[in-house]
Amino acid sequence: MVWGRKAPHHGNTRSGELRRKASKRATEKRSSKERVYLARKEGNTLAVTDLTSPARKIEASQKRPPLWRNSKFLGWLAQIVILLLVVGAFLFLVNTAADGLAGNNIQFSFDWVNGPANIQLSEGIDTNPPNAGRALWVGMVNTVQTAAIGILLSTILGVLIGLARLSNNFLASRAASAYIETIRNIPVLVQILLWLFIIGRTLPELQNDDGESVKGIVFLSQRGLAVPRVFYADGFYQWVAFIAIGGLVAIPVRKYFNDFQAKNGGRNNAGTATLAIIALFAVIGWFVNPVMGFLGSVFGAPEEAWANIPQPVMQLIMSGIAFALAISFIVRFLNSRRTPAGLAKLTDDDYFRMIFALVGAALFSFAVWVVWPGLSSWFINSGSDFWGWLGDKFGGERGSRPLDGQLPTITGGNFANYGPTGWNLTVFRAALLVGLVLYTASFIAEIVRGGILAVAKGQTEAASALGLNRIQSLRKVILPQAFRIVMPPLGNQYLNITKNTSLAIAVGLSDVVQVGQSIFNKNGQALAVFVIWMAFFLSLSLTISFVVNQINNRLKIVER
Amino acid sequence: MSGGGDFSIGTATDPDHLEGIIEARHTPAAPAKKADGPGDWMKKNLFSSAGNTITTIIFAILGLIVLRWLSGLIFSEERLWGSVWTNMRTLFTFNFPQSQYGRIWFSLGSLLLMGGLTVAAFAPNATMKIRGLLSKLFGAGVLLTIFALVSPDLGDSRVIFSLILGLVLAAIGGIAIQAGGFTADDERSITVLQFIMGFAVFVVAAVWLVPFGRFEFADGEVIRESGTVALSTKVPWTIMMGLLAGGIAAGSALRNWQPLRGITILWWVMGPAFLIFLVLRDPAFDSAHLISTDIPMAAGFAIGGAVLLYFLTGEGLASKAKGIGTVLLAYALFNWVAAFGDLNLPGGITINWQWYPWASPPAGVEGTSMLQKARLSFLFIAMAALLAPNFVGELKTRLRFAGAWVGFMVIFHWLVTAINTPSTLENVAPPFLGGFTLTLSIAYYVMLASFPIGVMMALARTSKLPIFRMLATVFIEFVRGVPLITVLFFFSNMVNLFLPQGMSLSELGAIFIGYTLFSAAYMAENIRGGLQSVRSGQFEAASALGLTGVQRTTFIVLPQALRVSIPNLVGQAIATFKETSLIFIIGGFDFLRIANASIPSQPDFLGQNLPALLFVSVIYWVISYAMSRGSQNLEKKLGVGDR
Repeated sequence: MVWGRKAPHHGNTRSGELRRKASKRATEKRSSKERVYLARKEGNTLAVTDLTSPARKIEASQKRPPLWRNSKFLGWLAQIVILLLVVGAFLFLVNTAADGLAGNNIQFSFDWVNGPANIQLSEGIDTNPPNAGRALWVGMVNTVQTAAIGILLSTILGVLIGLARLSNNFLASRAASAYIETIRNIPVLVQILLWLFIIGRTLPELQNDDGESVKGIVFLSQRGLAVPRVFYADGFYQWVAFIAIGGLVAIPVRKYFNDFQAKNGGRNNAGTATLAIIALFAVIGWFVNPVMGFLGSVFGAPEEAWANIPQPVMQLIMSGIAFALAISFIVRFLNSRRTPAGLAKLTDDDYFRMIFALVGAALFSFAVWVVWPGLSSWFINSGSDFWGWLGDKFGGERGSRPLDGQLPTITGGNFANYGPTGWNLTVFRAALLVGLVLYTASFIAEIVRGGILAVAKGQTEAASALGLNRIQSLRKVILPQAFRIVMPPLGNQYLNITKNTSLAIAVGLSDVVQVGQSIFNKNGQALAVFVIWMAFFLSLSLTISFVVNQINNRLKIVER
Repeated sequence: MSGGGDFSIGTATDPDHLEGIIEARHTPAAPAKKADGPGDWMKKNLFSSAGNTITTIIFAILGLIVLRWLSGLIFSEERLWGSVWTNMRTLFTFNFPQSQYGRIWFSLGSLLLMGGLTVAAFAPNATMKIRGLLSKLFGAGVLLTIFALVSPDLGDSRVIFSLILGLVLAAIGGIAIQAGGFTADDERSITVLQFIMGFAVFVVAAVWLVPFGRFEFADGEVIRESGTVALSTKVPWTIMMGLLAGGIAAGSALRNWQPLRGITILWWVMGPAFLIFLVLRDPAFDSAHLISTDIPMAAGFAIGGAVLLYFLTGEGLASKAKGIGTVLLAYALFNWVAAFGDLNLPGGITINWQWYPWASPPAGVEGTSMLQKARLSFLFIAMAALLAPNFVGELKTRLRFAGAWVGFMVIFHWLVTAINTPSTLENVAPPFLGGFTLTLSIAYYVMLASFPIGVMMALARTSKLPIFRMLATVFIEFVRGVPLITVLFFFSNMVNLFLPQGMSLSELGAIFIGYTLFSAAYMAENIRGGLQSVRSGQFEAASALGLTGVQRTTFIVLPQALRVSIPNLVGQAIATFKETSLIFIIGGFDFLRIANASIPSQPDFLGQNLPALLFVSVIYWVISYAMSRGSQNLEKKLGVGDR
C-alpha cells in the first residue's frame, strides 16, 4: 500500500509476495468499522471481540466479500462509469459543436490550409504567404526563432544575475535582488507592452523616404534594427552533405585518438581532430560541393517508389507498425517483470497497461482503415513529396555557392527586401524578446542561486584547500555540480518562455497564435486552428523536455 | 504518458521553495556583532579586494544609468500623469455608474473589515523587527535621493519634491536607528497589527494633509488646482481606514472566540461572491416569483436534504446511504441529459429527451435557470448522501452535517437566483465589473475554484485506478503543454458552440471556466508533489485504524500533502493573478485594457500609454510582492523547509 503514482513493486521474492498479501488484508478491513457498528447496535459484544480475534480475521479474509463490497470490483465499476461519462460528454459536446458549426455554415475540416490566406504578416520568412498553411508555417518559424533566442539570452542573463546575487559585494547582490524582486512580480504582458512603447518612442524615425534606394550596414529606427543577412543559397545542401562525409571520416579518427589516450595517457586530442577534419571538409566543400549533385538522382528513386505504394499496403504497414510497437512494449514489459523464480505476479495496473497498448494499436488501425483512410494516402503523398523535395535540393543543376548575403536596403521609407532577404529585428519582436528575456532571467537567476547554494559547502572549502581561486572553484567545482540540480527547473523555464512567446499577439508580431487567430477570425475554423496550435505547442514542449531530459541524464552522477 | 515539462515533482516552477530549503540548510553565520562605522562597512562590503572594487564600480555605474533612465522615463515632459490621476475610477471600476458608487465603497469596506479581522484572528502574534523597518526606510530614502539627483530633469518641481522626500525619509530612518541605539541584531519589534494600524493612520493623514500638484489635460486645460484631494475621496477613505482598524480591533477582542476562524474562512470563500453578485450587481428581484418559486424550492431542498442526511448518518446505515446516494446520482445525471431537446446521435438516430414540459428550449431564461438550479441541487444532495457514511457519529455531528447542508443550500440558491436576475445598474456597456475589480474578481475566484478541481486531479493522477490516472494525466499534460492564451481563445470563441441550444454563457463566464481548468492543471501538479511527499506509513496507519478511503484521504493524507505544497500553491496563485492580464488580449475590460487601450484613446490623453502602464505595473507589483512575502513568512511559520 504505497501512496504514490509509482508504487514500488515489493521485490519479486517470496517475502515480497507475503507482504503484498498482508497489506491487501489490511485494505479489506475497510468495512470492518461498519460491521462493528452493526454488531454494537444488536448488543452483540461478542461479535465485536470475535471480529478482532486473529482466527476470525483470517477466516473472514479468506471468504470472498460480496460483489458490492468488493473494493476491486467497485473501483473498476466506478472507473468504467466515469470513463463512459467522459466519453459520452465528449461525444455529446462534439456533436453539438458540429451542429453549431453547421448552423454557421462551417464544416470542420483542414481544407482551408491550402486555401488563400489573405493575410499580411508583420515579419518572418515569408510576409505575404500564398496559402493559410504557409502562413501558419511562417508563424511557427517566428515562434521557434523567438523562443530559441529568448532561451539563449535569458540563460546567459539569468546565470549572471544569479551569480551577482550571491556575490560578497553589497552593491552587486542588492542590485541583483532588487532586479529579481521587481521584475518577477510584474506580469510579463505588462512588461512587454511597456517595452513596446519605450523602444518605439525612443528610436528615431526611418529617414530616406524620398523614393531613392539606400543601402547600409545597420539601420536602427522605429521600424526596428536592420542588419545584413546571411542566407543559404543553392549550393547549401550539397555543402552540408559534403560536411556530413567529413563527419563520417571523423568517427574512426576519434576512435583512434581515444584509444591512443586510453593506452598512452596524455591529452585527449579527439575533439580537436574532429573539429579540424570537419573544418577541412567545410573549406574544401565550399568550392567542390557540386560533386554531391549525384544525390539528386539517388533521392529520385525513393520518390518513385513511395508514390507507387498502393494504399492498402500502406494501411497494412501502418497498422502493422502500431501492433508491432504494442507487442514489443508488452514483451519488454513482461521481461521486466520476469525473475529467476518465474514471472512476478501482475497487478491490475500491469494488465491495464498491456491491454491499453493493444487497444491503442487497435484504435489506430481502426482509424487508418475505416475512419480516416485519407491518412494513409496523405502519408504516401507526403513521403513522396519529401523525397522529391530532397532530390530537388540536391539536384545537379544548381549553383555552387552554399551561402549568400544581402545588405538592408531602404526604398521609399520602407525596407525593400523586408522579409525574405534582409534581416530585420522589428520593434515588435524586440519588445517581446526584451520583455520575455528580462522576465525569465529573473526566475532563472533564482534557480541558479538555489542550485549553487545547494552544492554542499564542503565542496567550496575543498576547492579552496586545493588552492583554486574563487573563479576557478566556481567554474570547475561549483557550477558543474549546480548545473545538475538546476537543470530540471531550468527546463521548466524554457517551456515557459516558449509558451510565453504566444504573447506576441499583444504586440502584433506574427507568431503562430496571432496568425491562427487572424485565420479563424476570417473563416471561423477556430476548432481546427486550436487543434493545430495544440499539436504545435505539444510537440515543441515534448522536444524541449526531451532535450533537457537527455542533458539531465548525461549530467547525472553515475553511481557505482 | 508524461508530456510537456514533466521534469520534476512540483517544486520546479517556484524557486522560492528551493530557496527556503537551502536557506534553512545553511543559513550564513550572523553578521558581525560589533556596530561598524560606515567606513569599515564600506571597506568590508564594497572594496575588500581589487575584484570587489571593480565589481562595485561596474554596478554603481550600471545602477546610476538605470536610475537616470527610469527617472527620465517617469518625469519626462511627454508623460501626462494627469491621465492616471484623473482616470482612477476608470482604472479601478471601469464604467460602474457614479451614482451607485456607494456599492463600491461598501464592498471595499467589507473586504478591509474582514481583512483586518482575519489578520487579527490568524496572525495576532506576527511581528516585524523595528530595526529592519527603519533600515528599509533609510535605504528607500537614500535610493530616492540618488534617483532624484541623477534625474535628467533636475529642475522639475516633482524631482525636487522627490529629492526632499528622499532626504527626509533617509534622515528619519538614519536618526531613528542612531537615536534608538539599534544594533544589527536588535530584537525590538512591533506586531503586524500595530503596523497595519499605523498604516491606516498614515493613509488618513496623507489624504487630509498632503497637498497634491495641479493636473492638466494635454491641451493645457487645468483639471484641478493643487491642494489636498477632493472631499469625495477624503471621506470614504477615512471610513475605509476606520473599518480596517475596526476589523483589527474586533478580531483582537474576539480572538479567543472559538468559531471566529471558521467564520472568517467561510466569509472569504462566499463573501466576495455576495459582494460581486448582490452588492455590485444589484439584481432586481421579482418578489412574486421569489415567493412562488425560488423560496419554496430552496426551502424544499434545504429541509428535505437535511432530513435525509440526518437519517443517512445514523449508525449502520452506510450501505443504505451508498445505495440511496447512487440512485440520486444517477437521477441527477439523468436530469442533466434530459430536457436538452433532441439529441442527434451519429447514424441518424434522434433521441427526444424533452421530459420536462417546463423546460422546452424556447421557454425563456427563467424556466431553464430554475431547472438548472434544481439539477445542481440534486447533484449536490447525491454527493452529500454518498459522503454521509464518513460523518456517522454522535447526535451533534449528525446535526452539524445536516445544518451545514441547510446553510449551503440557502447560500447556493440565493446566489444562483441573484446571478440569474437582471441587474438594476444603468451601465453603458454590459460588464458591470471592469478594470481592477474585474482582474481581482477573476483572479480570486479562479484560484478558489481551481483548488478543489486541482485536488481531485492530483488524487486521480496518483490513484491506483489506472483509468482515473490516465484521464487525469492526459488532461493535465495537454493543458500544461499549451499557452494560456490559446486556451482562453478557445473558450471565448468556442464554448457557446459546445453548449446545447437554449444555453449560453457570457464571454467572461467562458473565460472564467477556461482559466479555472488551466489553473487547475498546474495546481494539480503542485499538489501531486505534496501527495508524493506523504510517507506511505501514514497511509498504512490510517488503513490499520479502519478509516474508509475518503476519510483516509481527507483527514490523513491531504492535510499533510497540502501543508507541503503551500509555497508552490502560493506561487501558483501569484502566477494566476499576474496572468489575468491576458484577458486584455481576449478583449475583456480588465485592468490592463483600461491602461493600455481605454485611457490612451481618450481625446485628452491620446497616446499616453506609458503613465498608465507604469501605474498598473506598480499595483500588480505591490500585490504580487505582498503575496510572495506572505508565503515566505507562512513557510517559515509552518516549517515546511525544515522537514
